[in-house]
Amino acid sequence: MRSVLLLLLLFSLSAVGRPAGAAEFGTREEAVAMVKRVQARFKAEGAEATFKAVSDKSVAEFHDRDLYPFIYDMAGVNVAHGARPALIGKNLITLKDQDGKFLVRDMRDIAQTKGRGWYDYKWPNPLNNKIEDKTSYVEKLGDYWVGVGVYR
Amino acid sequence: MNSNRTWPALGRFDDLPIQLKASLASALLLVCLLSLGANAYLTSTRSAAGLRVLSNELVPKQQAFSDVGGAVVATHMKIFRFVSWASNGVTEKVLKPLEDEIHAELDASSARIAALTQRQDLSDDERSALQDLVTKWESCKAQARDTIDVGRTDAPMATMMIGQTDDSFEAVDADLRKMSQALAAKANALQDRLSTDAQRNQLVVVWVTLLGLLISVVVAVVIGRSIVRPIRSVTDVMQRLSAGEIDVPVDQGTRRDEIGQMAQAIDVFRRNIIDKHAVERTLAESIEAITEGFSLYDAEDRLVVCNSHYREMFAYGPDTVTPGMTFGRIVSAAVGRVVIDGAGDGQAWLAQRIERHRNPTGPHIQHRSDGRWIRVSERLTAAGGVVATYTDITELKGREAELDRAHAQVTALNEKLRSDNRRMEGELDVTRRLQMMLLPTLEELQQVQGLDIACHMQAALEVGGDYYDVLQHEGRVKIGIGDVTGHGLESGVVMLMTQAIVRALLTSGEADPVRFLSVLNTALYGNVQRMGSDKNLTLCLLDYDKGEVRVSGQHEQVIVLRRDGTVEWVDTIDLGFPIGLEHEIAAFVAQTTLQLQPGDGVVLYTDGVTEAENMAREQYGPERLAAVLQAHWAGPAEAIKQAVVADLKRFIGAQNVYDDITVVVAKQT
Repeated sequence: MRSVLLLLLLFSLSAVGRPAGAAEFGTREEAVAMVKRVQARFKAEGAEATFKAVSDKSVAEFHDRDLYPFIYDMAGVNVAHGARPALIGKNLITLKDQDGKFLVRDMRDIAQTKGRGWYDYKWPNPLNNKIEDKTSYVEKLGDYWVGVGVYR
Repeated sequence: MNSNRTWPALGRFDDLPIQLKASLASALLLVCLLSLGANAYLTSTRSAAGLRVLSNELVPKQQAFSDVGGAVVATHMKIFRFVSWASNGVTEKVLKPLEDEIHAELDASSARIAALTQRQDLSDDERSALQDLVTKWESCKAQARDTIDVGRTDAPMATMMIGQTDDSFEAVDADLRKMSQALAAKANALQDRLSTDAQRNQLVVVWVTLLGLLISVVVAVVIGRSIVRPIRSVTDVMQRLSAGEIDVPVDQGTRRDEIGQMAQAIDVFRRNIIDKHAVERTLAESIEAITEGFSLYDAEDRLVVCNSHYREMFAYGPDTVTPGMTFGRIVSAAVGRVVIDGAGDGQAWLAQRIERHRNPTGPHIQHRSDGRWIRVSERLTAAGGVVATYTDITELKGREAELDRAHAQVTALNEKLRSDNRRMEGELDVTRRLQMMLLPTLEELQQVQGLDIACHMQAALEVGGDYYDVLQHEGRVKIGIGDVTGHGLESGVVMLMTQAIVRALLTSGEADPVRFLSVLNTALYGNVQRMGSDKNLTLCLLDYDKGEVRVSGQHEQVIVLRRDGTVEWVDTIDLGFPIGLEHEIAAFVAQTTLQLQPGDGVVLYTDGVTEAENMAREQYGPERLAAVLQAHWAGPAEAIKQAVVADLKRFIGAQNVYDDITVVVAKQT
């Protein structure tokens, strides 16, 4: 288990240095790595600074092609969003995707009960604003939870 | 006719007063009417209340819920429109008014929902449902605002959010619709109830009306049976009574209601009529039985009643004079048949007669040509009518004539008698003197040995024929007492002769009482025959010798008084026969013997004593005489005699003395 974690950490660290245009979309590994970076920042600088950094599109660490992090509290209120700042402050616990899945609630449940996990749903791609299938990796983040997903 | 037979259950019902029956019938109908009215009132009250709830509460409330629902749906549609427009790149300038409109509507809906919660007519369920709704609406509104907010800058995201907005709105709309439907259901239930009420009311009206109809029919039949029919029967009885039929049985009299009372009253009336008829018949028979002609005219001078004698007086046959005819008509028709003296000028007499009939002044007498005398007696009655009696006095008239003749004779006789009387008075005076002349003297009486004797004789106004004597001859004493029939000179002479014959016989030594009386009778009978008289006498003779008394001859009883006052009666009926009546009486003569002790005695008397009358015309009687004798027996004979005479005089008082009074007292010394 530790070896896997280490591997992942290394993998994510290496991704940071990857030149732009190496691939068109982010990968699952890159998504997980971004979650870890959020965790690291959260641990290092606290909630507010982390939220600000995540929502600030100029922070490259958290904005890489179609990858971006999103953070909600346990009630379902969005506190930081890497692609759609309009959602910040809105409670989206009852938000449904086109398949009728309560994606915010479901992902919160995963973070709350398992601590981490993957979840499939539909969400607009910030690159083309088209609603596409997305798979996100979520983790509990203190009293919050954070997720980064890839479009498929 | 007897309703008891056909309707046994109504027997007792017949006894109820009619008034009660009528009230009962009215009460029954009134109950029907009241129940109809009450039913109508209750039903209409309930209907009104139901309709009021429906129109004032349920319908407006449902409308309010429905309105809010409509508004929410409309807003929901506008949010769709907004997201749609935003997703299709509509400019900010165009989106802005729609966004404002949506915000305004959201606020308006909030206000309307708040207003709903403020309603006063909410049920508890509705109130709690509205509380839920408010919560839902608040989150719905928040989501809607979020969606609009996001949509302004991020249309794809707003499209994403439409789903949850949609849910929220639908939830709110569903709640509102549910509440609205609940109210609609309530309203429907109420409408159903009102409709059911109306139908039931209709049924009640129909049935109660039918019941009222039935009661009316029953009441009509019952009244017909128990009131109208008996009344008809009673009316029938009254009509027959008024038609003069009296033998009508009055049934219904046993009923105890007003008809029963009416029937009883009619029965009393009917009996009165029967009684009246009986009285009238008795009266008619009585009038007919009167020997006079009788008639009664009313104040208008019309005949009311008369008898057949009256008709005969006018020479009418039966049934020709009938009640209702006037006296004028009856008498004028009679004028031709009955001829009355003095009625020469028919018309003038008739007028006078009618005038006299109307104003009677007293009885008048008609002499008719057939020789009859009629006394007509007319009088006014209290009612102004005239009652008349016609008496045939022909016989009376004849007797009057006879009386007149007798009177003339009596007058003549009286004249003759007056002179006779003067002669007779002289005769009587002689007789009285003869009678007194031969009575024994006081000295003679005192010489009688062994007897203390006292005598009294009082002659009546017209001398009777009393006789008494006390004679002594050779030691024998003979006491005699007698009474000659009749008065006057002849009686006096017979007495005189009797005394002479008794003395002659005694002197001749005749000692046998039978021969003594027999010879006396024969001698006297010869003289009485010569006198051409029918005089005779009762005579009793007592022969006294040393305390022994022999009694013979028929007269009043002899009274024997003992010393101690005891009274004994000696009947002399069987001791002789009236003297001078028959030629030979020896067969009838007998004697009886008495023994006198000192202090005992005998008393003799004539019927002038015992038949003397007082003012009350009561006779003195032998008992009174005996009582006086007893009271004074202790004294001497003279005192006893005086006591008897005094008592007798006191008894007679002022009354006339019709007969001679004689008393003889002889007491043994």
